[in-house]
Amino acid sequence: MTLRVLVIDDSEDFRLLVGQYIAVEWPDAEVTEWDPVTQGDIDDNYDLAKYDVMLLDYVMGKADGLDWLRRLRRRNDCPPVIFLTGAGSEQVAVLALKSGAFDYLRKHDLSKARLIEALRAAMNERKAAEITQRMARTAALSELNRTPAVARVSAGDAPDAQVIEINGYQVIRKIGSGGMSTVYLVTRIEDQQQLVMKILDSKLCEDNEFLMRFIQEYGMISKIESRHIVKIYDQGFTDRHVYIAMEYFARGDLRGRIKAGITPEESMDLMGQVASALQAIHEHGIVHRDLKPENIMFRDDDSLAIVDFGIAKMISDVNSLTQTGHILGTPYYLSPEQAKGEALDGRSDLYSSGVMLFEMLAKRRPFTATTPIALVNKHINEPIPRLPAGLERYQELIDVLMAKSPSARFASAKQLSEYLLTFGK
Amino acid sequence: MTEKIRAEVSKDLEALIPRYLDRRHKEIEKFRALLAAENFEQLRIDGHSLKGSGGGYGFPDLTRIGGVIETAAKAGDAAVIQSALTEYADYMQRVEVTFV
Repeated sequence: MTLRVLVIDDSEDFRLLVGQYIAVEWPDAEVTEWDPVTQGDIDDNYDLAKYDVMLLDYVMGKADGLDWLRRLRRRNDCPPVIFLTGAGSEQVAVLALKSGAFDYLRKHDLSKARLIEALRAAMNERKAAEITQRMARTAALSELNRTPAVARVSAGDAPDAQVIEINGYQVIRKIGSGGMSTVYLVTRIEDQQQLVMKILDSKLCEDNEFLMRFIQEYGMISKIESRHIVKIYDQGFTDRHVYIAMEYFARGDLRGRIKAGITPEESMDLMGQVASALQAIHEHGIVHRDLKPENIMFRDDDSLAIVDFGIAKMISDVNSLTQTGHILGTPYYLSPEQAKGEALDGRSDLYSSGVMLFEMLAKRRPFTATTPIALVNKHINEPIPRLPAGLERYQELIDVLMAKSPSARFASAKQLSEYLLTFGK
Repeated sequence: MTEKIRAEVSKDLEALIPRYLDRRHKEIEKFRALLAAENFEQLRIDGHSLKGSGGGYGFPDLTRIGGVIETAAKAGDAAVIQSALTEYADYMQRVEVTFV
């Protein structure tokens, strides 16, 4: 395969430098130089899909590379971007990563080794994306052809421990199954570590939308470094299965904690950890969309982590999803805007966290109903319930988190974290 | 005799170095003209470019000098730029490349 790199930098010297290093490592590589000062912007019709990697400078004459990055990363055909920064631009590097850059390089001490390392990693990222697309196409074809490989575990047959065979893992037992997947406790053979393996239901492998969502879950979560987000160890696929291997939580979920009894102080501490997790995912442009006690898990050290991003979507994708009218999420924790099928942002998760806090404090859910529709209507229209006597000091927080209008809630999970730090002081 | 300044440059870049250094010599004159015209905006842009390329080629002193020019240009500080250009010219006279 010939490596194709697009180098966007206003310095001819730097473009030549990069091109030379690449040519030494990959003589067949194709390097395209783009001088933003003389060539201007890359317009929407310019084909980016033909490149494996893009190198993008920060300061390009009067142009701001971060603006370019944000704009180009919104395109479906944009390859992984390695952002180029100058000395003392570490903050810019962080911004670039948050804006979708795959990696960054410091120009002033660029070495061939570092450049090649970054390019190799970016190529792997590109390759993974291509595999994802290929799998989606395969799934679409299997829909037409009904190949025996898929049919063997399809037709509603949830994969069981006897059938599952994935190199490097030994299945211990089935833990459960959800709408999209079956979950197993497995042992990673190389180090005997117990992990959770989530395997997409084979029937859904035939469904492009579900397949893409499952794979996105891995891609999204693995980019986030937070102790309050589940750790992803591996992801892959066999002829028959698509799987994600992730952290195993031996101490159960928040639902179990609530049943066992939880004090207001403990509830507030857990909210602080939830807020930290939400801050991390929102900063990566992810809205969880299905926050509920079953998706809050506990480690041996009693720290919690958010799991199950199966219906989480990048914020930028949310509008297109809701246009289809699909309501994803558990109705007990659904935000009003989610219930109405409106555009969502991180404040929707703050609403759900408010519902969870109410439940932790009051030992009951704020809204219940006999039908999902009635429940949804309550989220949209009914006043926020009052906490039981003795818990009045928490009512203000509940009122802000569960405000009907997103604009009346905290502006961000970070703001919630800051509030919790000062609560009661 | 003026003491040489040794710069270690990757052997992979050997083919590029003559041209790179030639451009630097010419750039000094360009910078002086820009300074005379008080074109601080272009000095900022070109200083930034020098800062970006110097270290990567194996000339960290050029990255430093480019940074000084960029910063001074932002502040419109002609005296600092003048001083940096003197150092730039001196460096280009004394630099001796060793390919490693």
